[in-house]
Amino acid sequence: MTGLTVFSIVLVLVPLADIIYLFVIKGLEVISWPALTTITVGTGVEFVGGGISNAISGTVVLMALATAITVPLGLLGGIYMAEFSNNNKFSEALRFVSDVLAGNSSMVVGLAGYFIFVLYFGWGYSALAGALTLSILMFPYVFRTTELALRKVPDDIREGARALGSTKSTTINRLTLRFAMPGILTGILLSVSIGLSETAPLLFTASFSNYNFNGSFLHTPVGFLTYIVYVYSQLPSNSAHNLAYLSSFVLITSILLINIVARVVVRRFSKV
Amino acid sequence: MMKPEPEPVHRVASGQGTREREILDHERSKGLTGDEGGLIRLQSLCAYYGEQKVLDEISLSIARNRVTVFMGPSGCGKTTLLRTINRMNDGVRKFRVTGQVLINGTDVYSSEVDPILLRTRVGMVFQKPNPFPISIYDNVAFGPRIHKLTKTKSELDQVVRESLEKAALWEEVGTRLNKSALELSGGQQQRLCIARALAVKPEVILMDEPASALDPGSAFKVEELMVELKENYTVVLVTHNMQQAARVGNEVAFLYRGELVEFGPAEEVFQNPKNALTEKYIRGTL
Amino acid sequence: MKAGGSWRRTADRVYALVSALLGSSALLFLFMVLAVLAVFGVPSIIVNGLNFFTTVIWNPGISTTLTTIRGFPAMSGASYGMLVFFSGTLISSGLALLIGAPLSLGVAIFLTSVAPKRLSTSLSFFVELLAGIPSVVFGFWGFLVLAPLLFNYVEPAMAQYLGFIPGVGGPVYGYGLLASGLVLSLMIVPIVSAISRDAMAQTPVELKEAGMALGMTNWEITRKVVLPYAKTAIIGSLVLGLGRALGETMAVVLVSQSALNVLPKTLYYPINTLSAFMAVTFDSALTDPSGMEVNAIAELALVLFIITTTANIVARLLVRRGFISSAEHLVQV
Repeated sequence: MTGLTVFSIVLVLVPLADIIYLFVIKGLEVISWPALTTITVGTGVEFVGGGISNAISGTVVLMALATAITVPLGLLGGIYMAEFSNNNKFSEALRFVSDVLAGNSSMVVGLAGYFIFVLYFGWGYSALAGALTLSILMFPYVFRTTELALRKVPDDIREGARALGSTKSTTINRLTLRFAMPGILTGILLSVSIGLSETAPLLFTASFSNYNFNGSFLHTPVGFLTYIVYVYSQLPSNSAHNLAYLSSFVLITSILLINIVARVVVRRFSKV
Repeated sequence: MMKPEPEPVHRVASGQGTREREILDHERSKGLTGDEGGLIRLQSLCAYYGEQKVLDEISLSIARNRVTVFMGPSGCGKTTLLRTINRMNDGVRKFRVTGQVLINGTDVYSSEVDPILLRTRVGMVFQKPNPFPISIYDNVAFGPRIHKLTKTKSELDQVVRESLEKAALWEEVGTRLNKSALELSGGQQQRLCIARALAVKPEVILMDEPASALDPGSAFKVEELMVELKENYTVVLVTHNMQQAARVGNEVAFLYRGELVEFGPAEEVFQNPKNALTEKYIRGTL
Repeated sequence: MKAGGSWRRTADRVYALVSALLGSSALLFLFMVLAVLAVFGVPSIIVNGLNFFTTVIWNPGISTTLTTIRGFPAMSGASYGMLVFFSGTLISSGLALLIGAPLSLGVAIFLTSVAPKRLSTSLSFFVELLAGIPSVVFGFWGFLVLAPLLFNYVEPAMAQYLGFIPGVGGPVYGYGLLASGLVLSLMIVPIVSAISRDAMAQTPVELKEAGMALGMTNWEITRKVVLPYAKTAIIGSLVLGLGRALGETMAVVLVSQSALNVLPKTLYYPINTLSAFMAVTFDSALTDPSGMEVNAIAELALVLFIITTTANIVARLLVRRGFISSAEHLVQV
């Protein structure tokens, strides 16, 4: 029986190791300063080459915008859940709705994002449409991890502050939030890595662009890394494949980095 | 805001900020600074959790600068009684109070009393030491900071130092104020919590079995501290430890099943209990 | 002081209100998503009716004439049936569960009962790392490595030696159902094994000791004490994993060969799923002169939403704290 369990862990680890090995090897082969700093040339139909700076800058802009939208919503929402809601019916409903959102296909959300932001609001394919769609997907993670992190702060700290005449607001802002911060930060990092991994919801909201982000958030398509992996992996030319390898490499290393940062944050701050 | 008056007040004068003046002004404006037979008077106090009555018609008077002890077996309502004095049970689901808790003649449950300000006058120390997981200094400075009791850093330093001194902790921690409070021993943590309560300059300190989670040595130190504190403060102590009640208490109230069975000077209650229940409790046969 | 007191109470109330309001964005998001899909889906629901659920053929009929059906513009030759995508979604996710469940359980048992503590900690980290890899990268790997491997070695061997089993014989394609199921199974292993591992680790020590006192071996304790104890949580985690597989898009797009108008007859057949089809087709659907293909895709999205949400609700009922513990896992990733 022990053999079978060893067999399953090997079966899981081998593909994982192969994925990491493949994209690290290929990524290191094709990585170069020009490839990271020049824009993509050509489209799917013709020869594709150049670099991925348009996708990197677009991804950075999309993620920054989506995080800036998600964090206040999720953070304050989580504060409500843990500190104010007293587990009332409304908060149970919110928790349920948030779980439904998190458990859904990102494609469904992406399609809705197209209808709402691109079409109905008339923003066209744009950074804002893409970022808002992403934040719908990222919200549940910040929301729930904030609640969980706050709930882990012992109640006698709240009692102690209350006995000193601290209002709920003051206790939250000066004490509870501070101690829940490692957990909250991990939640935010987690949501960023979720957003970074998404492809489908951006296809019809951000579209794609061969040009670097030009500062306009509306009516201008933006590039992103997962698009390059998705589309250029299926093109026949080597130069297109190389861009897909490079983008995979950049994605994997950034997500790995985020994971490591999250772990360090938890380790460092969990022992006050 | 009312303008401060240069009248003598019963508070320690150092580090007086505007908030404190407000409180004092308020007291004076209501003309309620007199003792009127006790700093704290409970009148026909009843408390309920839902339908269940947990305190039944409690009336007693707590004198200034004394240690008053609430004792009784667990579940007798002594902690609930203590927590009605600074309204810590506000917001507990289905909890309600009837009757009066008068401090300086003002009913703390009347609509014009702000529980937040009440708690700056009535400090509390809990059974389990609950220092905030921040530095020792920040723990003590927490109250003065949120209530803006001090104007300058040196004023705040002064308050922190005085509070730690009064809590008999300065000698031990004065050189490492920036260390985390969690590095202190249990007994030190409890004295830190006392210092933290003193820093907002309360008149009354409520203590809910403050020594029961400590080792005997630390417990003894906290007991000593209670006796010292009554010089400047009014101490109300909840305990189930009779020896402790006898050692530190000036007045002792014995509660049983939500009722006040007996209340009087400690020597009388312990040596000459009037009620058979009290006698049984003291003899350990209840 | 009166004013001061009420100001503070107001501050707390404002804080509660504002935070409740921002937390309610969950409701707003879900409402927006559902409302807009319903609005765009309604023409398709009315025009296609029940045929939508029983038809194999999906053909927007671009070159046919524009007419009006039940009050909505539509192409005269169009046919919208979701059967290929619906069945592809269920079959590929079912296959993923079939492969992923024993794998995850094996991993969970290995991590809780077999591996020494240090090895277990670092292996958990690697397995959870798997969850962080973007699905499109998974798909790219499947496209580059797994599908060719299946096509050249695995599938021919399976067809030859196991071909007597219905559905396992026949021509091989590499890119198709088996590849999709395998990639999806890898993607659900981290979440399923993490929740199962935690549930198993929570087995009370007394229960295990009782097993030891009865002279049970380590393996017997796992099978007769730990697994039954964690059963509900494990099933819940499986349903949660199923929910992920049902909604997965990019990995499937890259390894399924995007089948159209044909139902899978063997394990190797090209397939398509609801989400993968939406991703691939939406751009061209926008060029449909009647607009009906966009409406039909919105209806597909509604169907997918109902399937994944049902799976989620079932998982929630099975693991009372399932989502909390899964979120905790994700925090620890």
